[in-house]
Amino acid sequence: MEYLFIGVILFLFFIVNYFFQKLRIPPLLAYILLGIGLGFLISRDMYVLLENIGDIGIMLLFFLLGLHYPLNHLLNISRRIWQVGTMDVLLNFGVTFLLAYWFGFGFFGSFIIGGVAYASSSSITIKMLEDTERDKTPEGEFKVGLLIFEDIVAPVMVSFLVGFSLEGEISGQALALISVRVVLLIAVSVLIGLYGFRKLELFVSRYLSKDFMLLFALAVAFIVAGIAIYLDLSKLLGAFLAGVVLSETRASGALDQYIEPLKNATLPFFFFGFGASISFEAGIMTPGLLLVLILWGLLAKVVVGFWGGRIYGLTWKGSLRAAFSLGQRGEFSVVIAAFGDPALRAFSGIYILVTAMIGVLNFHRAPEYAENTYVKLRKVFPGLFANGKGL
Amino acid sequence: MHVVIVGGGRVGRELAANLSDKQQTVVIVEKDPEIAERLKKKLDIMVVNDDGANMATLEKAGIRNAGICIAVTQIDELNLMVCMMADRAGVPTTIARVRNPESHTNIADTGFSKDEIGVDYVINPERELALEISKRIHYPDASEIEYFAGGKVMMVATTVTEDAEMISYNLREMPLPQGCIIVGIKRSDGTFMVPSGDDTVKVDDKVYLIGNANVMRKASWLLHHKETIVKNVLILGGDTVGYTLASILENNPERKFKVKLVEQDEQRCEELNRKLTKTMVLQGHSNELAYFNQEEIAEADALITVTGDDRTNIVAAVMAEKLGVDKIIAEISNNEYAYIYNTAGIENYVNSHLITAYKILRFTRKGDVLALSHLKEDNAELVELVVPGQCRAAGLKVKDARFPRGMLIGTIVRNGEVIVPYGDTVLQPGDNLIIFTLTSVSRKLESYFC
Repeated sequence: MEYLFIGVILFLFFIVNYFFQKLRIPPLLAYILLGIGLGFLISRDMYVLLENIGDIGIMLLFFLLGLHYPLNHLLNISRRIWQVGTMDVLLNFGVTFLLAYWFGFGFFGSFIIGGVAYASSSSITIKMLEDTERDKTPEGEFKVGLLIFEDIVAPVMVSFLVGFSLEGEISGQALALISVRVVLLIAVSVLIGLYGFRKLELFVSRYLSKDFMLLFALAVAFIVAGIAIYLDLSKLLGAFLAGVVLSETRASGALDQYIEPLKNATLPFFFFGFGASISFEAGIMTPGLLLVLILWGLLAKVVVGFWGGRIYGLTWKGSLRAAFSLGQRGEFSVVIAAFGDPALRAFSGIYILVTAMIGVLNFHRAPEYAENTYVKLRKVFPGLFANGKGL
Repeated sequence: MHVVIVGGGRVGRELAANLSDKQQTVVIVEKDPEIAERLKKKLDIMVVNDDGANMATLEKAGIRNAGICIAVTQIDELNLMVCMMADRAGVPTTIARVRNPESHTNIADTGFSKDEIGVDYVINPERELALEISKRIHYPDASEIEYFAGGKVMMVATTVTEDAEMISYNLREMPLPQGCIIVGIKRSDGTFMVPSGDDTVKVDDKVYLIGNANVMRKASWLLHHKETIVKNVLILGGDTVGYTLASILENNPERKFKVKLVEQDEQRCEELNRKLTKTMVLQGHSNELAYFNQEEIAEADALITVTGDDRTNIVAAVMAEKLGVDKIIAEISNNEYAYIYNTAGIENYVNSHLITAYKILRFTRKGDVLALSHLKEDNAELVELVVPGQCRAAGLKVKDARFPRGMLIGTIVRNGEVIVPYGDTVLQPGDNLIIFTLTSVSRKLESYFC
């Protein structure tokens, strides 16, 4: 029965992907919409099955991404990204939290809404970077840096919510513990990369063409992601670090080719599951606030992308392209929303869906928007470009 | 002195021409028959058309009588091997060009002394070029710049602008900051002169200043009236020069540059990302337009084109000029392209072959020559030397030394202090002199200081 079910789902993926590509709409949206449309028809067991396959897909996506970020490159990015990351927390989490609190959601509810609004969807962003072939641009690097920063902050937020929902408060000790775990995972990965995997370069290059190397690479990915889960951290962070560590063997290109098809076959299940997980059972409460939050959520990411991009060292147009490519919320927001009651989950679900849809479409057209905005900016704020810099 | 040069490429040819002009006996060993024939005809010197990594060939070139052996073929290992053979043959000074920075570093790391390896001096053209470009980035308003006496003294060439008040003074009365003087002027009509106190500077003159490094920025501003500040540096080309330059800039302790490097090869980008710690490495598309990223070029304060291809460098430099980039520095391999830069009004182009040749030429001079720089105009040079105890000029006042016209002592560094000499200054043994001299009279230096 499972085989038939998976076969039908794969066939539906093929159909919607084909038509969305014909219509020049990102196929990723098709999977999410399919999930929303068919989610209620799927039994709990089947949903778990799809979720597991999708989890492998998203993990492989981050593992492959990590393969292209050697340790030194990652350290280089981290030097520039921390300021942008801090701005992201303040604007997207902080201001949203204050807005929700002002609308009377209480501390816990406001914290959940702030958390839902905080992180851009790593999976959607990375997939869109790949699909639009902008993954090797400077703003691509900037976005990856910011997403990794978010993936480091996210588990801290989750632990805060777990502590608060279980005990009604969060102890400083619990927060310190989660921070230590994040640092520990990164530090151990860096050390293993530097002193372990660099020495495996000859071994990997000798046996790169053998089929067991695929098993070796997958083993590394699953082990590090597994350790991250064990430490209550993001598995995506773990998978990414596994890729970073393995990139020290200088075999990224070949490993990428092995794993890419596996990722392509499993990743649509993740987006389908994401769509299916969004619930609207309890109806929409306070639509006014929802509208305000959606607008702020999109605007705040534009500010982070643009201003942060300039801080990071992107060009004016590069910063604008980044600004229009970060609006989509996704998997992390779903995890945070799960801490709320049904009404809050429905509220968050619509927020996530709308920002994901608009975010994906904006991402697709970001170069065009950036071009137009740049021309207008030069007209409205000529002083900004007074030194003659910029096209 | 008998000089054996192995390798008749651009560097070898430049060295041979220069040494031949200075009445040295030069023999070039060149494997390629066509190049060998061309050298014979063009330079009128002895050329041995054979493989330099062969003792019999080197003996044919007179290696046993040579004062210096210079190995400048395209192959690092061959250059090192030639020097080792020359050392065994009793040549007092051996110089090897080593392009690969890994080989360059490894010589010092082998645990052997230079004597044991047999190579007295190793010249790395890519590193020299990167250092030269780095100097110009630090001092963007100068079209030429040289440091002497460990950085205490500078030579700066700058163009006189219309609003510079200095044009109303003659040199004797010109209120330049203390510690610097004008040693050379190139008029806009192309004439070059070592000026006297009665001369004046005019708009569009290229003026050569020498003096204490601390006052040169102010002196240069008085003549040029513009101060360019470079923060965003864009390097086109991630080969050895681009990589070395990015490393130098990102490790600069005094100034923080935002460095971006564009490279078209994906694997090279990955390699650069593994090595560089602060530079942003951008991958251009792998086609001929890879380096012409208008968006990045337009926002750079300085553009450095070191793609390894003259034509690509020219197009990118001209594009940057049109986009209003403040400082453009282009690498040029074939000097015949220089006129294009001149036509486009781009003053800063650097030739690694010439830089290498001039670095090597220092070792061919008699006396305690510490540094030798040729000006871009090719008709003047700067020599840094130590006044020996027993020489004609030691103990004499400058006015009594009777230096020929066209030769001027720019500064003296004595006990760490920078002095601009006047007629009554006495030249003392151990003084570090920075002398500006026209090429036509530079040969006479030896008679004063050897």
